[in-house]
Amino acid sequence: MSKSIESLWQNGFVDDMALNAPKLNNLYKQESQNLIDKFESLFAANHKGVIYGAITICIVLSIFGAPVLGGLIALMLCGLIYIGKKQLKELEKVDKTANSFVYLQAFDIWLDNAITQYTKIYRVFYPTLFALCSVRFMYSETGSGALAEFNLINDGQISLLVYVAICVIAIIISMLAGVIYRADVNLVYGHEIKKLKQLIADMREIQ
Amino acid sequence: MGSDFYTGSILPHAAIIIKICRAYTNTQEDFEDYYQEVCLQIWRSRSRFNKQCSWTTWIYKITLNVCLTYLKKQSNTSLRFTSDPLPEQLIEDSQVEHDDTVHSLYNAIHQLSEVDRALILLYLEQRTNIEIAEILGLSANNVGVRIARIKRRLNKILKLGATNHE
Repeated sequence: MSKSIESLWQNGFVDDMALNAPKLNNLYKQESQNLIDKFESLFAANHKGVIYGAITICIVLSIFGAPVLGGLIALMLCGLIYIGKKQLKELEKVDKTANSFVYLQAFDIWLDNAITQYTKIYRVFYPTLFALCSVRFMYSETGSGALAEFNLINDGQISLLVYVAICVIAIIISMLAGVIYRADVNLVYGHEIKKLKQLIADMREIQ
Repeated sequence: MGSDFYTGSILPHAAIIIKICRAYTNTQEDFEDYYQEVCLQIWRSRSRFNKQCSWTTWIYKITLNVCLTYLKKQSNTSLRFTSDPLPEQLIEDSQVEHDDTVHSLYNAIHQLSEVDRALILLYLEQRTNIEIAEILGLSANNVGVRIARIKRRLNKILKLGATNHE
């Protein structure tokens, strides 16, 4: 082995034009496999799901006599949609034609921001949802009956113990929501995120 | 994609895309998927080309960015970046090049990290350190130092491969 790697390469590709490009099949209709495009389509699909979900919840809860609860949940979901749209706009700014370091770093910053923001949101969203549903249940006929059975209603007043229990459960949900969201992201994209961080760290060494 | 755009703006530079995609893939199927993705992204991004760099440099940037953030389809549930080595299947099945010397060199390149692959490919394509630094967003001085290190490593791998062959 005496040849240099430069000559190996040059001799291997004497005529660039002789390289056969693969045939392109239905390229225009192909779904992109780019990591950023995948996140974009995931966000877009989530938006649609949340919009349909908000409408459905509003209608169903109104039919079952809880229009206020339905409206409040729909309002909270609208907040999620608004934040998701803002995140999507930020993601669209990541330029695939920039140099690799800028491109990877921009995506990494976006990803960190998105995960942090959603973790915070879910820490509030889920306990609030639980508290709203619990309060609505407490004041329903079934709920009042159940509380009365356990002697948790005295002189028509719901015992303080019930409110404390709701608060404690809401706090536990809040703590778990953040952990579960991060675990969920790691389960689906953990490998990609790790790889992204590695690439950036490697590039930073050459900065 | 307009076929005029492909034949006029991408096909003349297909060699660049082919050589880079081969360094990041292990099978012919993956190679074709990567090639297709690069062409798709070049077409989608064409309006962003502002002539601040040459069209060739721009194609290098997109090709490398696509290869670094391509999500490989898996038969199981999760999505994965392409994993590293074993180009054997690609080299053997490939319709693009069957030269033994390139085969052994690609084998060695596949053993490098993804960033080192990008650096050495650009170097072998006779890009200057300044051009490489511009494409990857790195410092030109450090690019030179790193390339020297990669070359030593590649030579070691190739020598080891040759010894094992004997």
